[in-house]
Amino acid sequence: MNEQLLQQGFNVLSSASVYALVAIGLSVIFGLSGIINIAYGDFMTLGAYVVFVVAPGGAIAFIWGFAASALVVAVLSIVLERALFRWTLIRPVNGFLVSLGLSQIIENGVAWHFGQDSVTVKPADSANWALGGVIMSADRVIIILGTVALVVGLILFLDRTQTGTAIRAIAADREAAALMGIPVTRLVTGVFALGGLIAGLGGGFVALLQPPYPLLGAELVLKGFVVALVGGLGSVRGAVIGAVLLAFIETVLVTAGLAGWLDVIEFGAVILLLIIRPQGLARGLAHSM
Amino acid sequence: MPTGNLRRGNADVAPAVRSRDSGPGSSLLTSLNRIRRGGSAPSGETSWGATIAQLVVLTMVAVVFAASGVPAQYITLGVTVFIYAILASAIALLYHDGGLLSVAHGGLWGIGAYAAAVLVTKYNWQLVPVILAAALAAGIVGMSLASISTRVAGSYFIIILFAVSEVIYGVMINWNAVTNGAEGIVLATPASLFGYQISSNMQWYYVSLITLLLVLLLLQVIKRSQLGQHLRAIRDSRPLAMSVGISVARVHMASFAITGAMAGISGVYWAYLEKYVVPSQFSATASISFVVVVLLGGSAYLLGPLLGAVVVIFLPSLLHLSPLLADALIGVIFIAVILLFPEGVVGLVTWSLRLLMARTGIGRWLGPPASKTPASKTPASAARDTQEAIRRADEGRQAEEELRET
Repeated sequence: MNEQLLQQGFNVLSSASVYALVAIGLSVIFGLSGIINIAYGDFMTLGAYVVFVVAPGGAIAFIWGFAASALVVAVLSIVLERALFRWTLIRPVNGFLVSLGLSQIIENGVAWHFGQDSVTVKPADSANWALGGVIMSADRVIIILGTVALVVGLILFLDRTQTGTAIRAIAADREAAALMGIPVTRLVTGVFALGGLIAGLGGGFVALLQPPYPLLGAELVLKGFVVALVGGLGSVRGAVIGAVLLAFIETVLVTAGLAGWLDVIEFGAVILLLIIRPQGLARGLAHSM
Repeated sequence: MPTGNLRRGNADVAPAVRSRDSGPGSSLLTSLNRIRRGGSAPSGETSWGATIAQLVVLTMVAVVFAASGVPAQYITLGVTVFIYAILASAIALLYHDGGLLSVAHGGLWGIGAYAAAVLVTKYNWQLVPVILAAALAAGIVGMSLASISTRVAGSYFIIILFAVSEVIYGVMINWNAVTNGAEGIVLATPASLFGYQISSNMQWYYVSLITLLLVLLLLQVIKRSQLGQHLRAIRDSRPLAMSVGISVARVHMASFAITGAMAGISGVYWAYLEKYVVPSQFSATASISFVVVVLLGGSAYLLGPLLGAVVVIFLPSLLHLSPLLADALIGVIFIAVILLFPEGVVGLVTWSLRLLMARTGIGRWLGPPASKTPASKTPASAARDTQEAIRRADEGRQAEEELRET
């Protein structure tokens, strides 16, 4: 029983890694531009499909798949920011609406080009390791380690580098940051690129986890938002805490045989939580900055 | 201290202490007067005459369209347009007058549809009681949304409503005893209305048209009522509205209940038209497509949501595109409209007609310019708003000086 729980914990931790990446990407973009980018999940879908195109056979070619997917989605993000989101920075709700349109374009475009059914991507490494009775597939280990590396790197980048400080300054007060000589528009573009990079890599992870299909991102993004909200939108650490919490709850619910009601319970709990505590769980953390 | 946080506070939280226009550019006194005068009444509000004229034109166009012998499938599309328009007009009221962008109304729509499917297949109810029950169910669930809108605003509100629509969807899929799960319910029995059978799509065309007209009239009444005034007052400045004794909870509850009931009624027609109800029709994707319909047409205009529905529903079959490509195309058009013509297709048409008919005076029949749409602004209107803000700031300063002198 204990091993079974550990096994499920391990499995859910790998999918929670993906939620964490979605939530972080959404959070970073929201923190800087105030835009709820609902198309962010579809960026991940795109990343997964790039991996499918570049490395359908899996194995070592996956490295190229990851590189290509990160590059493609990051460049796409830059283009979209310059062409579309740039014009909505004054009214972020319009950015949200634009992203609605974008997600419609991406979802239907992908479904039209690749078909509505899922495509198969072979695993990057089909090895399985057993550790204390828990069977760990190499792919899931890659996902978890990759996510941890990304998150640690991102936190260090935001906290320790001058660019990171500038980004946090913009998030705190855009006008004041601009007056201090911080190149606001350039950094907003940069953060969209960063978000695209995360989405590309996250898309690669998702492709390892499950066969990509056109609506993959649409489902991911809502969970990502929930995670981000619980952690407090705009907080990277909060997003990680939210994802781990979600992983824990999902493990418990699945073990209790409530897999079907998973979404209802999760989303319902978040609604209740935010009615009672609108600022999210990690507000305390956010204020310790 | 390394935390990796981007935002210090949450700008969208605790709306009670923050206001959208509580910057230095707004004066409390002028805003207060605006509320006393009846919310921030749109400067060029449509007169009742113009409203009736538009509804008469709508009726005539719809009747001529149906009588002109178009293929049967266009009649079906027409019913779909009316069904969409009923719901979209309700969403538009919340968005334009309330500043509340609801992405949960697709779920309320589904509640109406399921109410119809269950009550008809299991209990063999007539149309009128079914409509009442569906409106009641969707209205009550809708009313509960006010518990969210009174606590959080802006981005948080939008995201939580996504969660609400996911919860509704999840219940539809899992509550097998009532909803028959993912397999859905077949609703093949024709509706009976006062002893008449309504089965053909042509009959549904007129039933849904009449319902749409009633809904549009009711929405106009609400806009002019105290409820509408208070809704706009809350949209413009929550703390100010509260300070003059407006109960945000009560106003939002009423607004969500009414628009939810409209969503429920629209869902009943949808169930009868499709003859088949499955959860996937009412997922978050459905809600998103309604938001697209509302903003494509223009939320500020009486017939905006209807025209948005016409574009979204007729475009694929007129262009003979595959549904996937058509939806992608609608996405492209939608982005273009949001960025270039924030007042929607109707706004664009009105604007160009005004330009053409500037001298003839016909333009005034087309409805108001969006006075304070939550959508983004054209450069011209932004400049106007800035001037207005400066004027208000001046007034405020004068008022302060007067106060200091006394």
